[in-house]
Amino acid sequence: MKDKSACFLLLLLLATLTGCGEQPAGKHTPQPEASVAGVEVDSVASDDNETLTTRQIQMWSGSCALCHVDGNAGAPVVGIAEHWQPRVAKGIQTLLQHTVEGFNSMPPLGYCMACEREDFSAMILFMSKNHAAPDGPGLMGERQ
Amino acid sequence: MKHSRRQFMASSALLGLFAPWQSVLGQQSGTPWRNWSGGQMCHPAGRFSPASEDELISFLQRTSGEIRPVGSGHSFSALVPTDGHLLIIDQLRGLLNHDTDLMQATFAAGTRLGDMGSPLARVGQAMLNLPDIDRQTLAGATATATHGTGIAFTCLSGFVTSLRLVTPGGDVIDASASSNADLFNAARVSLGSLGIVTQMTLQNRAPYKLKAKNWVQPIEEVLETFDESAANHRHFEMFPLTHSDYALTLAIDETDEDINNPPPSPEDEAAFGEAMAFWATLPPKERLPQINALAEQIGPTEAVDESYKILSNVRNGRFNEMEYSVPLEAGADCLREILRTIIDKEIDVVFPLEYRYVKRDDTWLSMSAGHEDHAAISIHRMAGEDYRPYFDLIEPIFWKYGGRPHWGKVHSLGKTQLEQLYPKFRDFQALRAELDPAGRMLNPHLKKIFLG
Repeated sequence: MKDKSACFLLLLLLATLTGCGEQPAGKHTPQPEASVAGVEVDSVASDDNETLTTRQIQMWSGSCALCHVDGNAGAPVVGIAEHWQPRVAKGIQTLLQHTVEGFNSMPPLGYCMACEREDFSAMILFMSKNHAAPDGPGLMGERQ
Repeated sequence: MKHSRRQFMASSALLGLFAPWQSVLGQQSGTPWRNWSGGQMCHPAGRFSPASEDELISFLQRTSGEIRPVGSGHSFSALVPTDGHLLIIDQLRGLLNHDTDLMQATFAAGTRLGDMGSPLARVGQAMLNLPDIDRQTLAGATATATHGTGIAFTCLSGFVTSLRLVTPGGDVIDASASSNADLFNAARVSLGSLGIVTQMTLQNRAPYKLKAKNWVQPIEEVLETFDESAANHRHFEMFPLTHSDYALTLAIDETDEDINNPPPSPEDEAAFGEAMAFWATLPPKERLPQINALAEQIGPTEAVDESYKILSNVRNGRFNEMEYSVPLEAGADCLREILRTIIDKEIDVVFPLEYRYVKRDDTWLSMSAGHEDHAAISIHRMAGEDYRPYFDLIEPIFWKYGGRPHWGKVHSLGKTQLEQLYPKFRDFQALRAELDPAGRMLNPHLKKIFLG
């Protein structure tokens, strides 16, 4: 227990001073302008950008992308099936509730103060690509 | 077998399932708003996010009723909650222009602090200092007098050399120390009550690297030499551990060393959760000897990186916070009384405190406004815990030492008390009434602060 407690103190320090999930050195948040221009969005979303409206891409790049591009704080990364499968299995209703109310490290509204429910729904679909586990339900409960 | 996005869209599921989604979240028709910690909440009548300054002006001119600006929702106090409209300037963001000779740069006020370091570096500039957290918007951070650490550095508002304000009536006013000076001094720390700040010019400097050193030291030892340490390091602060005689100490200085700033390992992060769970099982009065013994085993750590990556970061563990500033000479005694109270009252809190110095400034309402530097002291509770009993017990100690509240953090003060703490408070009230005679920007929290 002593080792764990020592680690706890060190990590309290880390958590307090730098955040538990600090971005890796050399990787800082993409600039929103670049994202809006399509650079970062294209790099992570390939041809699926049309899932979101131009305004939703802008909102996503200024909020969700802060964590869901680099996987900060254990956030599922855009389009990576293994990250999203356990989330998708919970269904869209649970994911939407977690987004609006906050869940673990994700703050309420995922930093998107301008987003409404329909925006979050579209963004969850965009990021998850509805990746379901084999034989598991999709976002809407549909069987794959 | 996974579905493709196009298959999914073709199923029309997206279009057809909004109604049941809405039912999950309750009975309100709009999307509720919550702050970062989840401690503040409201059901706004609507959200408005102007795509341009002209759209903002038009909105303000054609509408009436309560509006509250929101940045990133990082304020723990009730600055934002409204039954009226939330005004979000997330589309007003980015570096607008810069002046190489003056080392100044103008940003749209909706820019997040974490999105400023890279573009500034590209034009050969860096911010003088930053607060701990980099998710706030420039507008939100300055409106609340958010500050970093260092006796040589004011709060962020002190680096602002000019700003543009759109009044609640839709008028546009540019302000600086030489033009509309009173408005400039008020609007740099406005609590979002004077209008909407759309852009700010900041005094910067050439890019630089910083080296952060962390170590553990007895609290009393740190306090005995705190003034000397604060003078000798660019940034110096400590995080006293509750129910302990020790503090985590942080000193940051400029360096030419190579960058070396590895992120914490996943194993370390997992151990944090396990350790927190273990700690919570111990009665507070049994913790002190154990924490002291463990603290003595901890070695120092170091990190080197670009200034903005050392000074400011993401906070993944969410919490609520109360922070007051007290005159520098009262800081140590105030801290000692808080730590003693936590032990004597057996308060079940494991989150460290934070103790640091902030330079005086010439704004009207910052924590360090006026003619003396201040010591800022913070207490915290993890999000989801009831912070009120702890904060209610400690807050009077801050008052005893002449404390001023951080506007973005939990406090219970109203107009009568605040008028005594800020020499320019009445001037601010008069200016606010002039700019917003209908009180459109006052929610219940701000009415308590400005109207009593």
